[in-house]
Amino acid sequence: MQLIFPPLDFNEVVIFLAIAAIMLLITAELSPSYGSGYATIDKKKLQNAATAAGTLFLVSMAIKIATIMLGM
Amino acid sequence: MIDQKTSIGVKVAILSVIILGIVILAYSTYFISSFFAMIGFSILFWGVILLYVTPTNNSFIELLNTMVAPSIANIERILTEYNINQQGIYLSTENHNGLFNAFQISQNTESVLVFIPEIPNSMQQNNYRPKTDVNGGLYLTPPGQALFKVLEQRFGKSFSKVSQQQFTHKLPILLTKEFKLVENIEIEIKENITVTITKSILDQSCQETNNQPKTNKQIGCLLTSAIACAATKVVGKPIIIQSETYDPLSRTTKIQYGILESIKD
Repeated sequence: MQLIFPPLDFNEVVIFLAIAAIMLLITAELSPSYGSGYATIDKKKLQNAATAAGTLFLVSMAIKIATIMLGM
Repeated sequence: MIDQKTSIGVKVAILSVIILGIVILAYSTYFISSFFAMIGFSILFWGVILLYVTPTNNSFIELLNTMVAPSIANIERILTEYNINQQGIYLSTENHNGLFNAFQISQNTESVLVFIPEIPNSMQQNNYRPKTDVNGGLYLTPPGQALFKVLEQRFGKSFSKVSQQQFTHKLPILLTKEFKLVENIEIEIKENITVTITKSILDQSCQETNNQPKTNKQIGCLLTSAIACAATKVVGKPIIIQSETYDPLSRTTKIQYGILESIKD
């Protein structure tokens, strides 16, 4: 299944989402809520983004499994 | 603490990343290149995530500043009204039991007081005898008292039972690693106490006390006051803030505390 925009294969998008979700989840768990550095981050929002990426990955996996099972 | 200049810089950097991602993605679509599509998509994705998770303000510090401001304004008002211009002397009530009788204060709530003498230059006298009545100056609760109490609780014992070596070793760990209030802090106790603080998130709070010049000069800002409270109990002698200099370029504050020889009551 090749997407028109961006020109990516569905498998590439699934892998990308998997890597992004893992990185975001680890960062969200390890990052401090506040600190003395310049690049402070909102931990709550980061956790939301990580959850969203993880959910998207699971949805894409469900689509992938459904496609295989239906023999499409 | 994110100041306005840094905040704008971070925003510009993130928007540049997003624009770069869009350009690479458009390029990949035009030339139908999966390689560039993946790179462009990744850059765009992380740019959007960064834009989403970067806070525009630090609500924790804003809340802290709001809570500290009225107490400092009150001290400023008292100093101005009584026209007292001397440097504040931090006194541990554990070392000056007479203070308890004079003010009927609780040792648990106010174990350190700051005395501002009325008589000019009395702080320069090497032998200082604390007053046990309300004449001769003002006794105030230091602005850093609450922070000092939290630090003392984390130490697990009264600062009067902490050795100077423990103090210089453990307090920086507490402020940098546990509370994350400062990036780096060095404490040196010799004849005087020298404290060098780098990148404190309380800088903003201290700069706000610049609007209250008497309090800032005579008693010190929040962190300066909390360290003075702790130091006076550790050394067991009255402490004064001799100087406090701030370098905005390196975000470094250098504080010089003087140790006075007291005659115990």
